[in-house]
Amino acid sequence: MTMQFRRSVPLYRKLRLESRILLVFIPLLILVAGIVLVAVRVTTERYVSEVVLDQSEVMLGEQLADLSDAVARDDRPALDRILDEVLAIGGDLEYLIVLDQAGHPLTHVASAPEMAAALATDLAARSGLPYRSNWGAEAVREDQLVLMIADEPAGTVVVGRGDRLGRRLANRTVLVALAILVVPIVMLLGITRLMIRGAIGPLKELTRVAEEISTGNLDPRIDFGVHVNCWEIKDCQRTDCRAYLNFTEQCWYIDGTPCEGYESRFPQKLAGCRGCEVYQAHRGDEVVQLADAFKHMTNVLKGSRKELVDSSDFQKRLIQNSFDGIIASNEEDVITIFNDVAEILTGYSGEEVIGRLNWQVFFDIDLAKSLDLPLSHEPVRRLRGFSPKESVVRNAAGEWIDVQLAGICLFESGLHLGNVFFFKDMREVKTLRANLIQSERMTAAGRAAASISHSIKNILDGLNGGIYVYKAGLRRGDEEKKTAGWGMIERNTQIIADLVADLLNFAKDRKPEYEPHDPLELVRRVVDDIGLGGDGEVNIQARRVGPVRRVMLDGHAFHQCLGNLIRNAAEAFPTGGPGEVWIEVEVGEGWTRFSVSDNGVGMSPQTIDKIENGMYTTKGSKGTGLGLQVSRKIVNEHRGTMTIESRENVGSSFVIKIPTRELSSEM
Amino acid sequence: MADKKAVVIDDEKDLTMYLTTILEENDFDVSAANDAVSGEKLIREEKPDLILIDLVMPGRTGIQLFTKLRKDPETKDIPLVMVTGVKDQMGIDWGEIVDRYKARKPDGFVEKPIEPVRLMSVVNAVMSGVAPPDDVVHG
Repeated sequence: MTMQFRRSVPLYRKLRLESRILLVFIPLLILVAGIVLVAVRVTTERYVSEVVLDQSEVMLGEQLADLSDAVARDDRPALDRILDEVLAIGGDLEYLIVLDQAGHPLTHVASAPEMAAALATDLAARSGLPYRSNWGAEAVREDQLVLMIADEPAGTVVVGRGDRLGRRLANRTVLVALAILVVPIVMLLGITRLMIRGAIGPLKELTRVAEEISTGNLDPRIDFGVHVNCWEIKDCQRTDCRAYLNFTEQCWYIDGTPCEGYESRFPQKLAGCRGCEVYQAHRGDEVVQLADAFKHMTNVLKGSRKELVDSSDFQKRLIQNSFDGIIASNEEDVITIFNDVAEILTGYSGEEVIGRLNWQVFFDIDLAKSLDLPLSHEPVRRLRGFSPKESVVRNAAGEWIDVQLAGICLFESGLHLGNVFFFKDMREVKTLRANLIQSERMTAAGRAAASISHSIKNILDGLNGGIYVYKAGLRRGDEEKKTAGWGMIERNTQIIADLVADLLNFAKDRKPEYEPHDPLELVRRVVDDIGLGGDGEVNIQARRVGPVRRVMLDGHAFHQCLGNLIRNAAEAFPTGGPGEVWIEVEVGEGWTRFSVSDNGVGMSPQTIDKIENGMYTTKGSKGTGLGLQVSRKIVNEHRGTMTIESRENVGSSFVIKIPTRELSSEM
Repeated sequence: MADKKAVVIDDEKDLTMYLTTILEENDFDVSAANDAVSGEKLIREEKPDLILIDLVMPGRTGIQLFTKLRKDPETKDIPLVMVTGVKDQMGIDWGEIVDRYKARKPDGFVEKPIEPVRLMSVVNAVMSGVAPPDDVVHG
């Protein structure tokens, strides 16, 4: 890059001068020229006319005596001769007419024969009448000279003058004057143009530089100012300095110059360099300073861009090599980031996905609602999204893979920038967890064997008792006993059926068979089926919170799940009643809640702990604890939660919350 | 015509019916209650010759009622048989539990499942004041 001073006069001065020339001098000059030209033309014409008149007067004066005599004698030939002599003066003298004292024409002459003929015709037409002046063409002017004899008027000479010569002379004079005036104007304009080009040119160059910078070229050609050589100005011999003998770059742009007291890097070092004699020597006019400012700016931008690129590269590597799958999308949901783990997990390549597919291809479309939930209470960051949760991602084969998924909705100044999803492959973890659960379940089942066998003993007891009572009734002919005995047999048979169902359910894994259900209808059916609603000792009430909504859940499994909880609640009274059991159902956005509460004996924290950690019953010999475990398992299969709240002698509350898809908002 | 009175207290209605019927078949006049409070009231009203109490009941348990009866001069001498399924389920040492309450042990124990012949042998032993059969007596 070469740098040269092009101007030393300050730019503002140049522009001020040029603007004055343009705005004041030239219009003024044109105005003056116009006035001068008009004045020259009028004056010239008048001058010529006056000159002709003066000459004719002189000639007539010289011939006055002869002319007067000839008039007195009425000597027409003499008059004609004198008039011819006067007419010979030429110029714009067109005709002469001699009048007698009474004003009657005596004779006349004209410069051109056709004029003489026309004049003669006119005068003949007016024969006998005094001459009335202003004869002839519009361009002709007349003057009358009185002839005197012994101080007495003897007659009059009419002098007719044209304007051809005067006009020709005036025009010629105007042309000369115009030529004299136009040349300086043209010269001034030329000079102004040159000066403007001198000022505008560098500005155009700067505009080009600015455009190049704005389109991303941070190394534009900038030919302004003089290149100063620091080693010459400072008489420096540091041959190891990168600025030494550097003819392409000025020393203040070069990082790491060893000048004492200066920062080593641009732009930090520039502040120190401004006071340096080298930098001072480089200073030019405003254009040069502006060009330098551009160059400083591009150097700063280059530094910032490098930092940004470094930072971006680091972040890209971080994202690409993350142990988590990362998929990000822009504000139009089109994927912009798709890292290695995402490629491995989904079977898609980044090229197939980035800029081509939407995030909805990979995740449940319902996540859009979760992304809109507030994630942080900090209002400034406006973070929205959802914390890690169990979910699925779809692979190239269309299979759903179990993952732990978190999503964040990105905002900037209130504008939605896009979404980011982080996910972990949970297949192995889920398999391990399932094995662990199965193992724990089998262990628990083993531990429960004694409890179950005891329960079976109770059932046997009940059956034996039923048979015994029935037989006693038969023997005694006691119908009441017979009915009671038969009832015992029936109830215990049902208990066997329930126990077998619980055992089967608890022992094996099953996926929920989702069907549309009204949760409250389901609850009412359970209450009817287990036959607890009408004995009058325990009052069971079921109600709905919010509007009627149908949701997808496994109705058969939930019948068993809720049945266990409701039966437990109804049996939580020391004397069998009176007691209250409240069942509540509520369907929210993406979830359904069931709560079964009673005002029974309640449980201590220790008892709750035992219940939550394995098979345990508060019913002593009458229970196995299996029912609650089955309920919990069904809830887990629905990806839900079950929480227990209880206070001794106040009551217990079992709350189930499961994620559900709403079928229709209103029925 | 029954000449002996018995009170059966068990929260399980079916078992209450079973025990009641067995005793009735053996000439007892039986009154039954399904919880400890009404059972105690029944005992005070009937002044029975025999009491059968279920060990585990919701609310006030059979053991609490038992210790209360044992401390009351009016009821402390009434023969009392405890019906239980606890021992084989939980491995509880019944003698130790009773010791904690500083009360005299029940006169007899009957373990579930209830066997009418065995129950009556315990009942008869208790009523006659002799020690019940070993296999159903604990502590």
